[in-house]
Amino acid sequence: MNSMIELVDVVKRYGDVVACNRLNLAVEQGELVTLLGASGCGKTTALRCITGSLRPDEGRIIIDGRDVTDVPTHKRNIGVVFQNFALFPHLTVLDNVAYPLRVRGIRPTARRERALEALRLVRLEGLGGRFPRELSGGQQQRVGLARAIVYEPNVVLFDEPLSNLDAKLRLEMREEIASLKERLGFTSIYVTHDQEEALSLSDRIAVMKDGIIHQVGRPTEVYGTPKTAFVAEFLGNPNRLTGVCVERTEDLVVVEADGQRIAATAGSDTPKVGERAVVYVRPESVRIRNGRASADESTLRATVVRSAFLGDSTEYILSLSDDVSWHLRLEHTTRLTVGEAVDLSALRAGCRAFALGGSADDGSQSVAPAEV
Amino acid sequence: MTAVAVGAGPRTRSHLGSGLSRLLVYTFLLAFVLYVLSPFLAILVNSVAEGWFGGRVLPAGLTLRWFDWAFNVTNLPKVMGNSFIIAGLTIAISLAIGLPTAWALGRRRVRARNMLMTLILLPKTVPPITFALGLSREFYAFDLVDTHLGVALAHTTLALPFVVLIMSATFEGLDERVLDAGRVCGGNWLRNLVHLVLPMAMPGLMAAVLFTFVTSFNEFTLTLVTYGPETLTLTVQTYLSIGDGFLEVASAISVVLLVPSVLLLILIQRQIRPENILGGVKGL
Repeated sequence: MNSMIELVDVVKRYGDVVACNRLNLAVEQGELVTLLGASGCGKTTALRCITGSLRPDEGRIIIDGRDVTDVPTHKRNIGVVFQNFALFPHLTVLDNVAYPLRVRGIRPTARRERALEALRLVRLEGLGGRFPRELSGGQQQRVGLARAIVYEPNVVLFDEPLSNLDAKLRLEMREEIASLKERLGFTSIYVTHDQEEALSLSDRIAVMKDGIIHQVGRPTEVYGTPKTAFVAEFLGNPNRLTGVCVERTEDLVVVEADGQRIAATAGSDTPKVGERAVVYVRPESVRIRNGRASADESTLRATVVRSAFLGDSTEYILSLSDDVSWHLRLEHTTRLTVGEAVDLSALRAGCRAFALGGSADDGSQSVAPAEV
Repeated sequence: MTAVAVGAGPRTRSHLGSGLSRLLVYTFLLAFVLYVLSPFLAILVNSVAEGWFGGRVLPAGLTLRWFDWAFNVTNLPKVMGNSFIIAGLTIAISLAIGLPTAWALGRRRVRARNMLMTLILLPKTVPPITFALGLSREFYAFDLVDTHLGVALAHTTLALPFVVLIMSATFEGLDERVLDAGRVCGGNWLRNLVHLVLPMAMPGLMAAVLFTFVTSFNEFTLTLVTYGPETLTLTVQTYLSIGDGFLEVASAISVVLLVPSVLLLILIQRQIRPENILGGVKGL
């Protein structure tokens, strides 16, 4: 297999804390893989091992077929876009972008030309003479982007590049990165805690927690068929219902909680009959029932507790029992009043059941390399 | 380093109040300025005055004779040369020792950091004459007395704390992620040092160099126990002239001695504000 970036059994510890616990990941040529997880999950540590800012305690890092584990950062030939932009404050925008060329001994006229070309690519032509502090956050990150791609590295790494930008700019920059990648064809690892960013930008997503990759797969895969309870909970802001497994077939699990039954598809960690189980329900798979429920829907009773007007829709908080409340977004064509009792239909494909409090083998299994 | 230059903020007129209170403020300000400046005024007048003794308010006449004496009788050019050579050496030695130390203190986790800092500051905290006494004994043992290097080494003990304090703060202010970016861009440590670290640390470095220069140039106590005929400096020559009873000549030398300090003061006023030292570094 010809992977562009490969992590093999990478371990990084900080004292007693294991930041990366046997990470295995192979990123193909031209692919963008996201390391997705909450802060402290080890995704940034993993990235810093790839850039060479950190040396892994165990394991190898291979870039473009070359083992770079012991190669210093400046010889790894990679581009990195930083969260805080990390521009050189004393250099103009043009000199910032030209710096990688300058240290590679490219002559002034040539590097000026190439830096200008890179600035054109990120649509900053004409701002080359400015200093970083004279630019807006979005512009600064474009400079960071231009600096990362100017020497045409095979690998461009992104370390939460959008988290210092406001919501509107984030969307814009996301587009920018996607189109740049399409045009230039570099291979990327992209670190973020923002699931929307990950889902929209990635070819594949590696969901991380506690230094372990829980699942690697295409966005539709990790979202649609989460392998572990963590992945199901982390992605898509699901509703949850905890109860006992009362029925189980090959592809169906029925869980009962407070007298309500819900049919779910089985996750990798399927509960046995009689075992405690948790069901994660995608909000978009839940609707207000009118008429009969179809065969692949479960019906649940709920009471409207609260509503919040969101402009294009309204979010309702629904109580299924004393300690279970779900949220549900409805368009304005359906109106519920607080205190009203409703019947909900939950589509089975959007419900996934996992055993609760049982084995912890979920992590170690899904760490196996080359998931797809 | 947290203090921001007083004059930097927008001035508010109402601060000084009006009428009587304003008059009071200005009176005190004027008194303070006179108090600070009067010694300088006395030296300036003395250096060009003729027959300015006792209770006279104004000198009997003006003359450049004392400067002439200073230049010819006390060999001022050579003395001045010594001062500059020693200051230059002090800068070189202080930076050579101070920059790596400051880098370690500012950018690495150093165990017993506070103790190290105290140690570096020690020569500045004990009475100079005490320190000088010990130093002179060592210098005689190592045959360093009356050498430029010797005097410069003595000055280094005083200048080094400045360099370490200023530069460790400067280095501490360098953004590690920016340096990381330099490495990622492909710069080895030398290129990143020359192209990134040095320019970003320049305001601090300038301050350290200037303070070191003035420290050495103005130093007296330690010089007194390490100098010799070949390494006479401006400060010691001033002192000797006073001892010889030539107050006017001493004043003339003092005026020469003042020039670098005044130049530095102007430079500091213009260039080196605390926020520049750090601001030029923090970027963003």
